[in-house]
Amino acid sequence: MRSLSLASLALLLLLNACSSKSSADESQELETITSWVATAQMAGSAWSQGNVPTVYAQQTLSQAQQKLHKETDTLANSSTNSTRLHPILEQLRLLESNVSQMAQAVKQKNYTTMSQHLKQLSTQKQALSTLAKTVGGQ
Amino acid sequence: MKKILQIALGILTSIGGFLDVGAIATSAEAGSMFGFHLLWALILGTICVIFLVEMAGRIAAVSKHTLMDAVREHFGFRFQFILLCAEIGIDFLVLASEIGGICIALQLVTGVDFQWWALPVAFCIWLLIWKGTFGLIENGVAFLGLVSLVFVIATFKLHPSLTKLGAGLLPTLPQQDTAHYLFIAVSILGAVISPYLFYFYSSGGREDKWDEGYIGVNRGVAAVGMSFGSVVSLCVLIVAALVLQPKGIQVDSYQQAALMLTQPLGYWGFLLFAATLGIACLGAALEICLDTAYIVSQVFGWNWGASVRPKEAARFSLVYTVFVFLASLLMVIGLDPLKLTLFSMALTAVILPLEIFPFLILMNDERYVGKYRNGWISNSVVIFTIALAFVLAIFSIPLELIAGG
Repeated sequence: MRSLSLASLALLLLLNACSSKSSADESQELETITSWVATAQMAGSAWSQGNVPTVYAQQTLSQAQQKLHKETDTLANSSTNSTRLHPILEQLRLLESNVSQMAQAVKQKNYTTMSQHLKQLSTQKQALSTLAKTVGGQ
Repeated sequence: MKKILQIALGILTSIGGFLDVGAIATSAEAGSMFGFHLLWALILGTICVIFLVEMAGRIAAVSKHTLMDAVREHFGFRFQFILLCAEIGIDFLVLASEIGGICIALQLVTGVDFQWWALPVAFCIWLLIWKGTFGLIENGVAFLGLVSLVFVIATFKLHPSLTKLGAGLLPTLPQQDTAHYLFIAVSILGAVISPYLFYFYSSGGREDKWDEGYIGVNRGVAAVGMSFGSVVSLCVLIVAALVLQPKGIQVDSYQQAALMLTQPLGYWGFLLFAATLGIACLGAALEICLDTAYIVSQVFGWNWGASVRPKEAARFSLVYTVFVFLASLLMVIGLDPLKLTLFSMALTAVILPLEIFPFLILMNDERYVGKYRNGWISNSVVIFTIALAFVLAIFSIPLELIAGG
């Protein structure tokens, strides 16, 4: 009897997981994107302060850029309503380009450029967050 | 005086030896994603592992059997063989994860991709076991592992709120990401209650020729050592919750976890994170290699011992030699070390009932432990925790796989 109830509970959880998958997927992609943007910001700022080696900052920023690229593509392809997500995708491409330039700044050891890109990243991150809330509310 | 020194040594090595790739990965991910909400899983796992490690030492000291020998004698070869296969499977995945942890630590400081480090790392592990003695492996690496106390220092520097820490000790379900929350809870339990620890500990007890006089030392080392050791894991979780979570960083790569000590400790924080990861994983990798060679040799009745010269225990040496190089291949082909770690830890929770069931039977059998049989408290704590870990695992692993985690 107990095993039957456990099996029913597992089935319910699985069905629930499957039915809400697409919206959960979108929010999962956005969470991953936000996480990698924050990582790029922290790694860039730690490098500027001399708290991490150049080689680490370079690799982490490249990895962040790759993740952003992959997640943007996934989001663009998986969405049933791409016009709804259009502003977010635009913002994501700007972010990706900025992170790529940050990786370049680290490679050239250009601290001034890095500081400018960090400011831009902060603004873009806020814009993304606002857009995500707006789109999520629709 | 000698006993006090032994307890002190045991506690010190437990602090250094408790932390491994599983503890670092699961604690960092838990803290960065769910703040302090998974502290309860670490505490529960620690209580359970204290009881189990104490039992593993007690059976070695009283019965003069290693755990595997006792299982064979009591349950027969067929059951022992099933247990052996399950343990080898888990050891293989966990060893690959530990090698991955060392490789990532090297990548962090050198920039050379982790895959390139896998074979050299496997060679170093093999060389240490081949040339080293049990004392060197157990104590030497564990002493180096004291570097992990950097997480305790960072925690003090970050001044966590005691009220929030207290709230994290009570199990609660989050509003969202419930499946992932449960998966991480299971992974934490799997990381803390590592079966290889019991086989390694009981085999070590036999190598050190423990007898009933060691019951007190064993109890002290298990209780105090494991408690202190788990403090480091708790601190990893707390630091991740205080540094990474507010910034929205969810650890899904060791690159991200490496940033957690830079805020409180600057450049040294980065280096000490890499050092902690590398040394903790090296210690655990050595233990797992030895554990696998121990249990295979014990099952087939071969000569075994870390302090025995390789030519006197050729098949024992062959097992860890083949095992370490095969496990390193999982890193050579480029499997994600963090994902492999979390998955291995959750899988460990699934096989825990199979691993622990014979253990409990033996610990309640007078023929093995005489008057030192288990009390109802230790039996209940272990049964409850293992059942919880198993139930959570069979629900959360499929959900995690469906979600593509």
